[in-house]
Formats: sequence, structure tokens, C-alpha cells
Amino acid sequence: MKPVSIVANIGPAPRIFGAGPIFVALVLVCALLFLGGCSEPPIPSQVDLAVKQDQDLWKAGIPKLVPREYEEYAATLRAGQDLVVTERSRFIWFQNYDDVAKFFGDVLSQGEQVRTAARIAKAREEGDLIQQVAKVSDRIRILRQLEDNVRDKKMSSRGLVRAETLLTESKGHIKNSDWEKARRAITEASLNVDSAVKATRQRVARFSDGQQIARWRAQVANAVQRSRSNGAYLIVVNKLDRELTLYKGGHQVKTYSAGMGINYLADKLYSGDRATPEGEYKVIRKLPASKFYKALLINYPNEEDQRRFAEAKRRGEISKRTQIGGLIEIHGGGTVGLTNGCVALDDRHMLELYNTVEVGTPVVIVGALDANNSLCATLDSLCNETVQ
Amino acid sequence: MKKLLVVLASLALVASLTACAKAPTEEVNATKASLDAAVADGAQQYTPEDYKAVADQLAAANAEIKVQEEKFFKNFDKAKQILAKAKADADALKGKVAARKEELKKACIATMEQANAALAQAKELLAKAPKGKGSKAEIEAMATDLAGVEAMIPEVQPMLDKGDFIGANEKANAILARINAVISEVNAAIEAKKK
Repeated sequence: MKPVSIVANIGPAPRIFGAGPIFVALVLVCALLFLGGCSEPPIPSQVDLAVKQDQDLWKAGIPKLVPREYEEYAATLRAGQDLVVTERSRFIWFQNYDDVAKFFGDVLSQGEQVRTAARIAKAREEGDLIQQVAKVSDRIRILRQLEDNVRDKKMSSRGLVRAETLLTESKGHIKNSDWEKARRAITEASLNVDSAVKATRQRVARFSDGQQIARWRAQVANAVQRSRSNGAYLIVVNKLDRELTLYKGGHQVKTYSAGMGINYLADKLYSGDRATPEGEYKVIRKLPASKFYKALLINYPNEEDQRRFAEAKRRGEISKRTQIGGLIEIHGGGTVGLTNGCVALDDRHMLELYNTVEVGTPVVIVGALDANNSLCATLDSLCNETVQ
Repeated sequence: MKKLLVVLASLALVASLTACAKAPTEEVNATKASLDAAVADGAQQYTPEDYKAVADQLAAANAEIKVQEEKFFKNFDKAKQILAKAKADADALKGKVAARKEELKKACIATMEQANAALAQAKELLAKAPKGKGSKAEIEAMATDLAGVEAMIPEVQPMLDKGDFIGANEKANAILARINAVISEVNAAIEAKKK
């Protein structure tokens, strides 16, 4: 078959318009443009890969983890996309994606670098926050332990519970990679622990007061001296050490572990405060069949107690209806439980003591004898640790 | 005259191929407005992946428009197609954000209901717990703990009211966990007392 040329097929046109060459040229240009426009060269695969990478980075929360690095990456990606636009805008014969492919190769590398930076930032941030949580948790644990050791449950404060709950909350925020909220919760928890430590310190300030300790030491020394002089028995109770020591003739005979009142770190002031009194007393009665095995009743309140009580009432620190209380004993029943202000011994120790001492035996009850006691040392260490 | 006719015909041909292609500016603006509204509702926070998908579609449409604007024979069909999908997705995004918020809100309310039930249970247990000399202080300490965590309950609702649904959930979960811890402690104390 004889080939038919396009020019030959449009032969009649010149006869119609009388301007054949121009018309043919125009039609050819249009046809070429039209046909050529249908087949743009393919966009390099790196472009789609970069778009997918960006979506993955976003999905992984990377803009939140490394915002500056991600923004730089996103700007490069946008520049690359502008390159694609520029290239696609060219006439197809002049489109060349070599530079685009190279550029997007670099974008992909940058994306991987951002991913690595985010991984490092996440590990660092999480590590830092987890460390802070551990630090505050540790302080809470020490404070709780202190409560257990000194058996003063009054130390428990709402602040401590709040701190514990906030720490749990912060762990949720860490899991969500919400560093800001996690940090806020940890800081608040730490402040609550600070308050609890401060309140506890105020509560037990007497136990680190050198002058107070010196007074207690002097009381014991004088009583021991008297025991030495008259050869009599003496009972010394050290509240903080939770010990009862029996002396005879100024010499230690035996030391027993002792249980105290729920609020034993306080000096007893009134009926129902569950505190164990401090001062110089004496056994005024021996009770062979007490509710708690056997008991030695002491003369609380003594004159000093009555003076303090009256003074507190006068100052309005306690209500006018409040009574001073009494019936403070050294009794059996064991040291594990908490008394309402009495000093409790194990029954076998109580029996020994009961059989040894007589009515009139002096009893000195002091808060502590050592200014560098564990309570104050622990509180000092807790004060020095605050989450920044 | 004939030459003039040829020129005019050519111009008409070119014009017919280019004039009908007008950039879909209105569609772009409408899609952007929908996306901005979803962002204002918290799309980036509550439905980040969906937000990103729509934002990428809008960017792709804009890129396509730029390409076509540079072309001699403009064709915005593809851009319009992308924009139609982006607009529909942006509109749906608002709903998705609302649904996610509602889901979180419901979860928070459910947790708080559990917390309140656990609180009542803990109080009941504490009331029944033996308060002998050995355990009275412990029980009191647990009651103090419980009161402390109970005091945190009213903090959840304001967070929900402010729209901090994620934060409210974390707090609610922490409160519930702490109350459950108190229940365990009380039960342990009761068991210890039985022995």
C-alpha cells in the first residue's frame, strides 16, 4: 500500500483559504503540542518515597520530638516539590528529572537523619523524665519508709498521695510523648514532696534542735547521777530510738525495745492527742492485771505538764473544754502496735521490769539523745533533692 | 482578508484550548477554610494522621495548579479532582476530631465512674476494717491517703471543660490507680489482722 502523507491528505485546504503552508504549519504545531502533552516523562520514584517518608515521620510524632530538625526537613521537601513543579511546567521535550531525583535522594537522607535525631531526642527526653520520676518516687519512698520506721503515720499527708498520683499521671504523659505535661506533673509532684518534707521537718524540728537535745541529755545525765548516788533503779525512755533502758546505781542494766503512741513524736499536751509525754516522772502504781498484761502507771501529768497545758489553753491553742488526760503507763502487749501515748513492751520484758522496779522509781522520757539522729539525717537528705 | 481569517481562526483555536482552563482558586480556598476549621478544633492534636493526609492533598493540589499555570494548554482537572477529595476529607476531619474528643470524653467519664465506685468501696472497707491498737494508725493513714486522692477528683471535670481530653484521661487513670492501690492496702491490712 502506498504511504499517504499528512500534507497530501490536507491537500484541499489551500484551495479553500489560499494560505496552505501557514495553515499546515499551525495544524502540525498544534498536533505536536497536543500529542506531546500526553506523555510526560515519569516523575522519579524518590519523590513518592519522600512523600511517604514525610507521612511516616509525621505519624511517628517526629515534628513534636525534633521540631527544628523536622521543619528544616519539611522546608527541603517543599523546595524539592517546587523543583518538580518547575520541571513539570517545562515543555515536555525539555523536562529533565535528573536533578530532581538527586535532590529527592538528599531529602530522603535528611529524613532519615531527622528520624535518627528524633530517636535520640526521644530516648534522651524519656530517659531524663523517667530519671526525674524515679528521683521523686525515691523521695516518696524514703518519706514513707521514715513514717514506718518512726511509726508516725501522722506524717502521711495528702501532699504525698497527690505526689504519687501525679507521678502516675506523668508516666502516662511520657508514654504519649507529651514531655511538657509530663514535666509539669513531675514538678508539681516534687513540690508536693517538698511540702511534705517541710511539714515533717517542722513536726520533728525538736529532734534536730541542739539545745533541746542538750536539755534532754542533761535530764538523763542528772537522773543517772541521782541513780548512781542513791543506787536506785531508773527508767529512761528514748522516744526516737523507741527504747526503754533500765539503770541501777547509774549503770545500764538492760535496754528493751518499746512501742509508742500513734503521735509519739509530739510531746503530750492534752487528752486524746495520742502523744507520749516527755519529762521526769515516777511510777505511782503497779497494775498486776492491766488490759495490756501488766502495767506501771506514771504520774502524768506532772507539774510541768500542767503548766504547759494551762499555757496552751490561755493562748487558745487548745479548746477550753479539752482535758489534760492521764493514765499514761508502761505496759505489756507488745511493741508492734501503736498505743495512745503509753510505752509498750513485749510481755516477757514487761514481766522483768514489773518484777524489778517499785513504786517511786523515776521515769525520764526524752525525745532523743543524739542530734545527728537518723530522722534528721534522712530529712536533711530529702531537703537537698529537688527536681529542677 | 483571507490571511486575517487564518490568523483569527488560529487565535480562536489557541483560545479555545486555553481559555476554558481557569485555576480552581475557589476550591482551594474552600478546602483551606475547611482544613483551618478542623485545625482550630484540634485536628493536629486529636487526629494528626488524618490532618496530615488532608494537608498533603491540599499541597499536592497546589503543586498541580502551579504546574498547569505554567503550561500553554492548561488543564486543572487533576487539581480539581484532588481538591474535591481534599475538601471532602477536610469536612470529614471536623467530624473525626469531634468523634475522637467524644470518645476520649466518654472514656474519661467512664474512668471517673469507676474511680467513684472504687472510692465508695474503699471507704466502706476502711469503715469495716479492724481498728485495734496494731492497725488503727495504719487504717487512719490509709484514710488520709484516700482523702488525698479524693481531693484530686474535682480536678478532672475542669480539664474536660477546657477541652484537655487527653490530660483529663491521664489524670482520671492515675486517680483510679491510686484508689485501687488503697483498696489493696486495706485488704492486705484486713487479711494481716485475720492472721
